[in-house]
Amino acid sequence: MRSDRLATSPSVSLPSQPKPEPGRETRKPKQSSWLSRSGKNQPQWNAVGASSFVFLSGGMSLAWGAGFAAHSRHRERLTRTQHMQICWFGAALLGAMVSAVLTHRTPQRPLYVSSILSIISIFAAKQILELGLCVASTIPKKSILSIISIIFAANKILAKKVLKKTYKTIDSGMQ
Amino acid sequence: MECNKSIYRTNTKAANLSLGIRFIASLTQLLSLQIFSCCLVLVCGILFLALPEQPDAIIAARYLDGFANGLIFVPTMSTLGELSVCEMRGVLAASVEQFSYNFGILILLFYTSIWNCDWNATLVADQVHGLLSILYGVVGLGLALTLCVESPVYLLLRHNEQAAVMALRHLQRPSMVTCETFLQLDEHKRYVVAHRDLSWHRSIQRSLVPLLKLSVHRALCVLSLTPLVWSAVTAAAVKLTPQYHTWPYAVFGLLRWLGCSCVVFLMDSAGRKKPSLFGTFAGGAFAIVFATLFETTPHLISALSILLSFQFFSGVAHAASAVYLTEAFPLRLKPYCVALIFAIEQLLRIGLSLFTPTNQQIVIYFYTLGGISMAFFLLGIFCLPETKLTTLAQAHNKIRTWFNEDF
Repeated sequence: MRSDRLATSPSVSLPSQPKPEPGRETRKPKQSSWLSRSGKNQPQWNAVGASSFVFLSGGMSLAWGAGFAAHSRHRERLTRTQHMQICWFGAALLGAMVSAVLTHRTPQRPLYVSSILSIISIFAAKQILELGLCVASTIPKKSILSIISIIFAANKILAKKVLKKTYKTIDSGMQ
Repeated sequence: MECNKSIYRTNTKAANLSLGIRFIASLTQLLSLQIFSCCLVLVCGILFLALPEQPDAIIAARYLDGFANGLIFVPTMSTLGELSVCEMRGVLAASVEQFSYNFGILILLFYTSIWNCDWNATLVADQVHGLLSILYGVVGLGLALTLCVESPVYLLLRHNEQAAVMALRHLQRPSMVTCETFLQLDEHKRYVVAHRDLSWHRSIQRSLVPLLKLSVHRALCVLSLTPLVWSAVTAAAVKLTPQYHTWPYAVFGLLRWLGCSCVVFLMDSAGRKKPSLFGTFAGGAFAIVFATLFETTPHLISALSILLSFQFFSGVAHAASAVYLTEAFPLRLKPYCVALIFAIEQLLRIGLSLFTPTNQQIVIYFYTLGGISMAFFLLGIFCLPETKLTTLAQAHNKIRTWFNEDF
């Protein structure tokens, strides 16, 4: 089932299917019990389950912002300053603006194996960065600058080489 | 022979190159909005749990949570109608949006009232918020990583028909390609073809009327839970019991959630129009009654009970607004229009939380709220369409006309 779900790539061959009759214009819903219908359409609920969990935390924050957080240690601050109240709404506005541009442009469903790989690689990169910072704090500033300039130079040379190679491969491929 | 070898070598190089490109492409897919906002909620929970004493950390956590909500709201609401079959669309949209928001409100009010009962717990109440947020983040992340399905309309817009069939297959159980799948695909294709050829100014023209109708409906939804309503609750309850932070809060949240959950599962049988009209009428009447009681009588217990039942009817009235939001707009402008409605809601909330109200202002607020609800009820009889058991295109056509004959 799980591996089946992975295989959304177009390389999967479909069994031959009966074509729908062209005359039929609209689908008429079948008469069936509510339970069997909801059982059949369960995956549709699961597909948006993540967002309903985010909305749960959003509802909590809404009530928080409306003033119902009487338990909070920051109750005084909430009533006295507006920043605490407004910040959720402002950020939500910003998020909606960003996602209006991204919807129908980015895929919703990630390729998860690769995304897990990339998460691991990000963690590894972060570790390396921290190590680098630890080392850097022991070295005086001038040498850090020189090291950075050396790295940049090396990068430039490498990039040129890689570019040349790719051009070569593309050229040979064309031939 | 040599020529063959060199071709082989270049082929492997090209293969390596394409592998690298694929890896970079998969890195960009980390930016999947669902996963990103679940991670944001998770970080928000951690901040709440770890630093409950520092106001800066709480502000940062609230920023993150709001950003996550805004990010996920638009794609969810614009693809919900495409994911579901038409006889489940109402239940799905209403339960994902309104039901979840109201349940979140219930949870916060519930643990607030428990924590105010002089219960000496070692956990600060903000830390409970953090724990719950972490839980939501983790569960949501799990769901987004495993069970999330791409919208078939998105795939059809990219001319990827085979993947669309696969997505449709995963959206119904048992997950097999049947005749029904192809009928659904046909319907989506007709929808995409009808809406892809619309020019920009045609689609803007088509989305103006739904924008107006929905912004009023959603604004009413916002007005039913504001700092003003909170101060009305406390002003009515503070003279009744010394522990006014306890049971009125729990009943408030419970009634709001109950009102919503009563109608959410009727969205596809009773329809969208009847519950919202009934709810707005009853809610408006209760708001006016509350305003008169609050202004005149010293019997604040009746005012409080009227206010609590007002919450019940506002839960009833606004369950359908989420359903209308998913099906109102033309395909090309859908995300922008949904984002605009959401932005209007947030601006209204910001505007209402900018001042601290007096008792007189509360009375005026409830009179206006009742008046707007009544006006919406009267206009809604003619203007709100009944869109149960229709396809997305038909529903859009019903909403975009000024007057409907669905009585």
